[in-house]
Amino acid sequence: MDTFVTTLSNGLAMLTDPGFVLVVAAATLWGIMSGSMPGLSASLAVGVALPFTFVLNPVQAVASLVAVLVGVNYGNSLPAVALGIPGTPAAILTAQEGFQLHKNGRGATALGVTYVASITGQAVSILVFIAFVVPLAGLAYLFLPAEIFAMTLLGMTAVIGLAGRSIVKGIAAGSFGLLLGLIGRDPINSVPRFTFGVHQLNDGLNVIAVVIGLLAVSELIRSMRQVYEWRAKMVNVSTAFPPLSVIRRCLPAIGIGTVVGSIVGILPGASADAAAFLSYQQAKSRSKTPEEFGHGSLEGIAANEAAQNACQAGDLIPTLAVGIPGGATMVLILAALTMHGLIPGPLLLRETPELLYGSIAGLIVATIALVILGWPLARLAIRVATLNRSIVLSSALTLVIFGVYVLHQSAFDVLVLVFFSVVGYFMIRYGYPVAAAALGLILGGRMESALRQGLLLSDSDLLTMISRPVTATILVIAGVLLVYGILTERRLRARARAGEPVVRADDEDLPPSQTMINVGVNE
Amino acid sequence: MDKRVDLLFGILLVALGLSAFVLASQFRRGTVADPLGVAGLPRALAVTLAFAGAAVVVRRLATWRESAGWLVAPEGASDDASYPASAWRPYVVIGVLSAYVVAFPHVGYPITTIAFLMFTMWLMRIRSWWRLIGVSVGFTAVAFLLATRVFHILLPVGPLSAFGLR
Repeated sequence: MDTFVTTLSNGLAMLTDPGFVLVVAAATLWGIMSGSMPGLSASLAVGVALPFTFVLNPVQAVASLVAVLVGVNYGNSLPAVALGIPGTPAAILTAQEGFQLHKNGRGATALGVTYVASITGQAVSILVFIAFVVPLAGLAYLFLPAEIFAMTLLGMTAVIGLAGRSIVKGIAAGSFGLLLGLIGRDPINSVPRFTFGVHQLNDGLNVIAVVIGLLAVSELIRSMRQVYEWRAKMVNVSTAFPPLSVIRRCLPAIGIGTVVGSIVGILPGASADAAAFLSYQQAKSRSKTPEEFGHGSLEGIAANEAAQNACQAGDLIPTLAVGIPGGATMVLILAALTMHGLIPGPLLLRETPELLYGSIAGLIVATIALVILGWPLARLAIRVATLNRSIVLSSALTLVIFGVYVLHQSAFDVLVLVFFSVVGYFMIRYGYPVAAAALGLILGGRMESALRQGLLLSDSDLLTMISRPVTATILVIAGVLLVYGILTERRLRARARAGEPVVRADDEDLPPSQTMINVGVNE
Repeated sequence: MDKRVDLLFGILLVALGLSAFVLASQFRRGTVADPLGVAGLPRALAVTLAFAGAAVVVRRLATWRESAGWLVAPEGASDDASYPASAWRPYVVIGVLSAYVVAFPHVGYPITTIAFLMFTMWLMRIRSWWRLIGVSVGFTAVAFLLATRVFHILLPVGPLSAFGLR
């Protein structure tokens, strides 16, 4: 309890820095605006902001990227209610319920419930974050090279087994990424590897350029396959705040969403989409009016919004405590840490405790920004959703290139960005998880160092190394995740052959309307 | 998706894995001995990549006749079914993007960025000239000022340096 209070106090102490507060509030605003633009995913919103965090210190950088995600998870619900189009897939069920309510003249009520549920889920998840991350980080002393190797393997299998659709393609993507991470000088002997005589590769690939190319620019290029507008759907939206009695009715659903979102967020590979779907189903099963679900249910909106916002802090727990990202957006956060010279992993928070306090402060400031700005900006954010999509995509593409160039004023970095954006585009189109490749790039060097040091410490005996109790436990968990992924893939393929819908609930790659068509909701 | 392209990617992965293995085998040995060595993990990953690629090839060939024609159910992200998709636009964007990046250090940021933005928006069916010019010039100007005046970063300006632009 003392540690919990101390950590929270240290986090709150960072709020006295006006520069920090300003940066995080601005990042939240960017998150709300970009989240309300359908087609700009959370990864894109973070990817566009990432290069610009280079001018900040590491704590501000991570806090601002976290704030972007907080903003996105609120902003994505605004067009969902007003236009029936979710800003990101996590708001699909909000779109289904909220747009019905809006058509029935209750759009303001739906927006009000969205606002309260988002803030509640976000606020409670901060406490869950502190409660879990501190003890987890305290276990860092258990992590010697063998354990660190096992953790990197666990991170890779989590992303491959839980977030990908094809295990084989996931393994290919992960191996490809790990190989990319080995480009440069060997850490022990300084022998150049895969550099092909290019001196810019002696220190390895620029992680930011590759990760943004794989995760963000590739997605932008893919989005450019289609041209469409939502301007025709723009309707007037009332933003009169609903009465408190309405909000009170939704409190149980908000509670369910917060709990489910916090727990699901902790699981590596599980995303806000999965948390949102699960909490929606739970809320429906416990509701006194389940018949409303699918036809404009405020409880459905409340559960969905609380879950996807609570998931936020949960995602950060494995990412910061042990260096295992929850998904593509967390991979970007790890890339930001690497950009600032920090090494993600079990020792990160012990060596840089201010990062923990900064993350807490970032979450708190972002939540406060939501409270202050979220409701007044709702109308503006809905209008942002109707900006010309073609202009937004073209500008975002230029902005990302500009951002990567200003990092080191290196044209080579931009070439790398373009190359891997092409690679990422084809990976996305043909089912190779880009998050696995990006994570492999970040973890490759660390995995190798840990493996080689672990073998040295175990007298070159691999069996001795992996049979250490903690190492063996972690490897078993990694094996279980891989087997789970294989079984899930088999089940999905069997359903595909039987002609049933086969979209995974946590599929971040599909455009929102595609997922709505394919998934549906159990009635 | 096109199963021929999927098969081709599987073959490419096998080739990539084998190439990486051969390259890794040619790495110079270091002076500090360790059990894995300089090439240990690279070779293991190369083999894994090749096997994964082979598995993709085998699976694709095994299910080749399950569908008539070249198209099969997508395994990656597919397009939004509500709107038509252009198969060629991404390739044009990639080509223009590559040209932009190559020309950028020589022709300068302002000119190349304005041209790139205008062409990309035109590609995305923006036909209003005031929008094409206004957004391109405005965005480029703001980004240029931000970089040079706020972040104090030097951006190449190409022939515009003759007009005193820095």
